[in-house]
Amino acid sequence: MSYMQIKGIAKRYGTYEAVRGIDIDIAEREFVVIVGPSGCGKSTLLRMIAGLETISRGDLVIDGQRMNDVRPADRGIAMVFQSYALYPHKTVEQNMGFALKVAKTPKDEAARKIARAAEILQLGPLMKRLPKELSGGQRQRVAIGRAIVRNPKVFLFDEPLSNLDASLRLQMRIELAQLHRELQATMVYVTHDQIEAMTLADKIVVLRDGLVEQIGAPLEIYRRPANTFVAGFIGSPKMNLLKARVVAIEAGRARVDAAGLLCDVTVDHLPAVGAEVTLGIRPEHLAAGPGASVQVQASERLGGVTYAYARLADGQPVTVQLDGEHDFATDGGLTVQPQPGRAHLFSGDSGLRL
Amino acid sequence: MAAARSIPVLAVLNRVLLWAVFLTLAVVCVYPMVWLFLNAFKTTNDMFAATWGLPKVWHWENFSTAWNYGISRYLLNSLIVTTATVVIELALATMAAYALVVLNFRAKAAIYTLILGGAILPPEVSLIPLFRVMAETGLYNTYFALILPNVAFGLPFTTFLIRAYMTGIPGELREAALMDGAGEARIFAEVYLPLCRPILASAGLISAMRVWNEFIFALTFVESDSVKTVTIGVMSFAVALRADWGVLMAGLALSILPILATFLVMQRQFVGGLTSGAVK
Repeated sequence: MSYMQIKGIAKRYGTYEAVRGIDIDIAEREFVVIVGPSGCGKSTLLRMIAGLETISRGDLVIDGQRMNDVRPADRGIAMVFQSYALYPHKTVEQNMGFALKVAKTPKDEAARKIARAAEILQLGPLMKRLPKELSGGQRQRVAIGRAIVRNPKVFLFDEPLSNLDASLRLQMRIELAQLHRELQATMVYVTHDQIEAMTLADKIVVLRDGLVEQIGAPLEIYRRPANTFVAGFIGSPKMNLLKARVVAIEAGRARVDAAGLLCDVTVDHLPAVGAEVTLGIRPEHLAAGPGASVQVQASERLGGVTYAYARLADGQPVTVQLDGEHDFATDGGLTVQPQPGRAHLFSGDSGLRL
Repeated sequence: MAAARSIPVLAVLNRVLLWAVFLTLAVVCVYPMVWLFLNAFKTTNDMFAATWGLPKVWHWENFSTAWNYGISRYLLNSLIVTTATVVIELALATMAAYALVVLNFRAKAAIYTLILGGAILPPEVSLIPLFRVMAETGLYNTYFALILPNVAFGLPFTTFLIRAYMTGIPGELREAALMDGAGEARIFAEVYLPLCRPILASAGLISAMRVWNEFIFALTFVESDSVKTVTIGVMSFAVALRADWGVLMAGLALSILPILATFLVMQRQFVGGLTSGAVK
């Protein structure tokens, strides 16, 4: 039984439709990450859920109640903004207590709620400070604390980690995951960072141009991307998407050839022999070994692994992840082979998974 | 080598010229005030004997004489008119600016243009209609005869200043407050107003200086000494004290002292207000 239902929601600005009819079912206590490139409509969707944008079409239902025309504050939702949106002239305590003050919560109850949020987020010593006296990570925690004290039905996060540096982002990611476990709350999280999506989500929603491309668990999306867009968007480095031709079909498997890179792919929908298809294979699923010759153009040695950026015989770019110890000459040749059972096949016309 | 030496020479010359210009400007602006304050301590004879010299005897009593001669009343009137104008003007301008910045409504741009248009209207052209309005509404010769037109003519610029400042406040703060359950009135009072403190100080000071020195409404809309402000008061003062220049200077010095002191204390806000209006 879903706790929050987004039914055919759309947002129109004049003649332009930023969100074009989205359906998502969210279960109670689920952590849903909406991911997509800039301009895909993910923040607009989140703002419609929050009540900061009107819904042009469709329904938003939370806990059985239609929320389209309900005031933001009455939807049982708290939002953590990308910029944190802390009140600069209020202390941490006042920032966290503002919603309770507006709601005329009795003082002792408000103090208890603020103290509990402060304890969860380890904000105790900072309560009398102003936002300008806090670091980025601390501000982020205050913004989350402000959401927690309201005890909402649903937490919304709008790219909350994008203003933090890489190490702090990693730390906050871990803290957010812990927070979700501790609060057992329903969370909807918007990001353009697929690593955040993969690490935090119970369910990922991939958006493009205002439409859902795929909904699923992180590994499901990673292992079975519905189309070339999702295949290219989820995973880092990006999946290699190579133009290929079907050379043989046998026992539910298609043998394809991408400029000498031969690969057997299990498919649900068999293409015709000779059909133009897109072969999807992740850099980590290509290994050095007897197979197709590629010409290495550049490489990145990260220690544990090395990425070789190469070209196939017909010039198509291909990225190969190699063991960090693997020795090869940059600007030289390399032979690679796909790991069995790890490749994906997409229609050459529609880009849909075969 | 020659080029390397010529740069400092040019730079020094630049500085000298700049300082010369600034000093000249400063002297032009400051000398009347210095002259006024020096002569406020002299008798008429001393003044004509040595206009630029320091007083031989410092006649502090000139100030008490001027004070008792009626300048105290004019100062009080100016204080009342200025304070009331600034408070009303800031209240209205801040609310208008908030609406213009955060709310979406029809004809918003047109309304803002209309408000700004008010700044183009010179007060002189509205004197006769305003005079009739004052006469017919019974406002003539009351404080309101000065406060209301001063507010009206100050609103466009003050609204412009505060609006420019408010556009710099992130809209997400309002959205966060909306999510926190606050209505527009509360967001205005508890989020925007405290954040606007610097511009309110600047706009208030600019407005106060304008109203304190306002002359034409004070000359036209009031006549009795009980409501005359200091700009008009010192005029009648000058007529009555033509023979006693020292006391006259002391009276004039008293008339500018409050606003001069306010300006000196708050000049940073004054400059801040003007530039914040310019940049946004």
